[in-house]
Amino acid sequence: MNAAVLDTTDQAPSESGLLLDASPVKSLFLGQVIHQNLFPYPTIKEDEKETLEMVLDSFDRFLSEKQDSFAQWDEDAAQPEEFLQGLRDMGLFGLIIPEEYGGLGLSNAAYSRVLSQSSMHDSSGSLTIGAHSSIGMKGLLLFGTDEQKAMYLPKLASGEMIAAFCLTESGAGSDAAALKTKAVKNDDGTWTLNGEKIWVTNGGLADFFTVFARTEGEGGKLSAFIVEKGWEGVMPGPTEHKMGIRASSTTTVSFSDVKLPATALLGSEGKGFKVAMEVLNNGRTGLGGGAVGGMKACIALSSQYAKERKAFGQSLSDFGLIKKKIAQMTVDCFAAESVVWMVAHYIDSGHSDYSTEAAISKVFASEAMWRTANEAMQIAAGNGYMREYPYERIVRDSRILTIFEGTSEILRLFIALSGLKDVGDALKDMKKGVEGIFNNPIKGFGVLTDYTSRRLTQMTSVGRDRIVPNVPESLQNEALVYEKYALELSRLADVLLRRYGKNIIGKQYSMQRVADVAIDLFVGISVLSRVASMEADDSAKYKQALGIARLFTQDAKRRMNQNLRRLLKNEDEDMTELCDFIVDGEAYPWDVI
Amino acid sequence: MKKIMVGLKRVVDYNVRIRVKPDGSGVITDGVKMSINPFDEIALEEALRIKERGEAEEVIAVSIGPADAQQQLRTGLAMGADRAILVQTDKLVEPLDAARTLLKLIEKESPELVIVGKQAIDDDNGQTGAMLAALWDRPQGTCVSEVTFADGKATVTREVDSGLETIEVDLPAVLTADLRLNEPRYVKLPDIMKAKRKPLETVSLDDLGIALDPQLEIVKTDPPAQRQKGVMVEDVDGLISALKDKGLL
Repeated sequence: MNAAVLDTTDQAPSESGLLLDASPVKSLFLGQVIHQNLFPYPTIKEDEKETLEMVLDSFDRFLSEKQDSFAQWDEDAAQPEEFLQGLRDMGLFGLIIPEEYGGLGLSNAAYSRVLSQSSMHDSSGSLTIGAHSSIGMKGLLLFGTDEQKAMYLPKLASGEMIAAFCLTESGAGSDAAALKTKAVKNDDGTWTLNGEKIWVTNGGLADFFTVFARTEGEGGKLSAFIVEKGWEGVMPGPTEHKMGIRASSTTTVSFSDVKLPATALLGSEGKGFKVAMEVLNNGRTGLGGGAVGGMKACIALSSQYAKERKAFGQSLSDFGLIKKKIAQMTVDCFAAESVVWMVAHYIDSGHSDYSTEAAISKVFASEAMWRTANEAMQIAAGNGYMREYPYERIVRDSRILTIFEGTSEILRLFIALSGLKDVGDALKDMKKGVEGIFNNPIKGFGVLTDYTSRRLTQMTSVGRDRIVPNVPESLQNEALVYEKYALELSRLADVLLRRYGKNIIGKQYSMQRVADVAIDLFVGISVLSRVASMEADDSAKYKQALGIARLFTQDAKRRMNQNLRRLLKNEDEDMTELCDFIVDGEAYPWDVI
Repeated sequence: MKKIMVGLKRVVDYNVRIRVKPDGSGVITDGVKMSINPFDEIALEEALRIKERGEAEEVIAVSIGPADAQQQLRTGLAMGADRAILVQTDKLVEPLDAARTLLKLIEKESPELVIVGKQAIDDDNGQTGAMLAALWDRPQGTCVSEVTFADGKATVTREVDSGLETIEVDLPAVLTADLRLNEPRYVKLPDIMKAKRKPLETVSLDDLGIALDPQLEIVKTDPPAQRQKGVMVEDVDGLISALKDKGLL
């Protein structure tokens, strides 16, 4: 039986008080708030904090001196070798590699914070480091054998080798089942690799590739391999011309009859899909951290600009429509930061089931960054559109965030399906429970009772005791919102599954709404948890944090309400018909003449 | 030289916009970024370069301040200092007391050279180095923009109002670092990890037999007056008459 269905009080908590195998978001779909995993808000360990502060300080100085070069490198679509050497000298390629291999051994939370700092200066530079650590060599770190680690990690830590992640192909992005690159096992245990990967970040710089290839013929299972650039038949293509993150190297990498030693296999044969997913899940907080840094930079730019720029004899910051934008940018940034570090903490404390939470943090942070970049440009208006200002580069750079490492759309479906699966399992368990009453009355009754009590909770609102006790008096109303909507989500998830059964998979409009409610719930509770863990004092900073919690929650409440109502009453069919009509004609058919 | 001692003071970072506490009792340091005094960082950089040229064997970073000043000493260790000593106190330490304290450390460590910043950017007193040399009864080279060593002597270039002045001082001596002495290095991240394993000793003022003896009383701290809004004058005549109105011409 699924762990999340059990009453959480029955589970033995880990040393830290966390329930390491319980996913808070999946549980929300069942109307349960696993408060152990949500409160109090995690903090960084004191000794790591000191290291991190020194790392940030040093990196910050290194980057701030290059401020003027970033725009030029964006134009040139390349980072000069001196900059890459600077990154190597600083030790930035070894951020998450354990100390015994010559790295810094930073936790996921600290690593995300470093990327957030670098993204305040330059997205391309962040990406060069991020693609190396978050995905390029993460597979080796997570699945490599001791021999593989000893062979590569020291070189990867020093930056002697830069890493890249090769999954996407021209016919297969999110759809990993369509991958064509294949590795054939030879009689002597070696492999022969053939295929072409596209959009490889760091493709032109990398010496170490994590490559996913089919090892069981067409449609068969995937395996992951370590491939060195020096091996015959490995060919990176020319640099792609991109809209944003232009200074970061993106290329194709083709493999023609590349002979791989048996030791190049990463993880078990046939488990490549698992490797890819683990790497991507684990790497999400790097991207999220980057988005947060970008937002912080926008907030600083916009607040300075709004204060200095005068119109009609007033500062822009005196106008309500500008105030609203800067406030909203701040709420978005705080919320993204809260959820990204919550997830980073799950990863650091050894949670086994955090993929849904990681997906939420990626969707929310990347979309929040896009909104923020867009508003920062709007505040700077005409100036914002000019290349001499940084806004247009920030807008271009941030556009990729909702696309790569899983599009917002794919991740929304993933979030909804992950949550609904547990509800489906619970329903099945209930059915089994009823059958079980006759075979094993006690066990069966237990299952039934658990499910029934949840239904009772929904109807009587007795269960409102998981969030409220964890927040200060001043946030009680906000806590009640999340308690209420967690129950609402579980009620409607139940309705949906009963109505559509496994056909739910075709109901993307509904799944998007369900995912959006889950996103608002988890991000909102993360915000609440963070503010609740702050020291309550008279400072303006604390007062405004309370304000952020209120602002986010009230907006989230409106959105959740809409989304849930529209699950049952909507214009989805009109939408589908219209789209089909247009796609059929491949054009807009109306005119005014 | 065997040993160089460098003083590192923990100060509010130079990028921070200083805010005064509402009751005027000092500046706000809670939640404010703190750093090594930039002139002290230059002092440390110079010491490290001297060592890297093979002209010294050991660089000892010392600080007088709260427990949190360990962070600045760790940064100093990450830059390359070999070990560090913190004289821990939560009290405000005036230049003379700082000099007396540093002298005790000198007596313990017997360095051939002591380098400190020419001033700290928090109180801008610019006295500690000179006072230390006097108490130690050794020569001093203040506001150093260049220094070389030969035959137990330091040749020091100082920036003075009339230009550059070159003096020669016998070692041991105290030098105070000016802005143009060097450009401090970035701390490399692996060195931050290495710094964790370098020795950092903490002693109290009592351990050194120092009783603080403040000479000054800070009555009040005020933020600088807000700048008055300027007026635009039409032309040169307007400027002249405006200056005359103010009695400035």
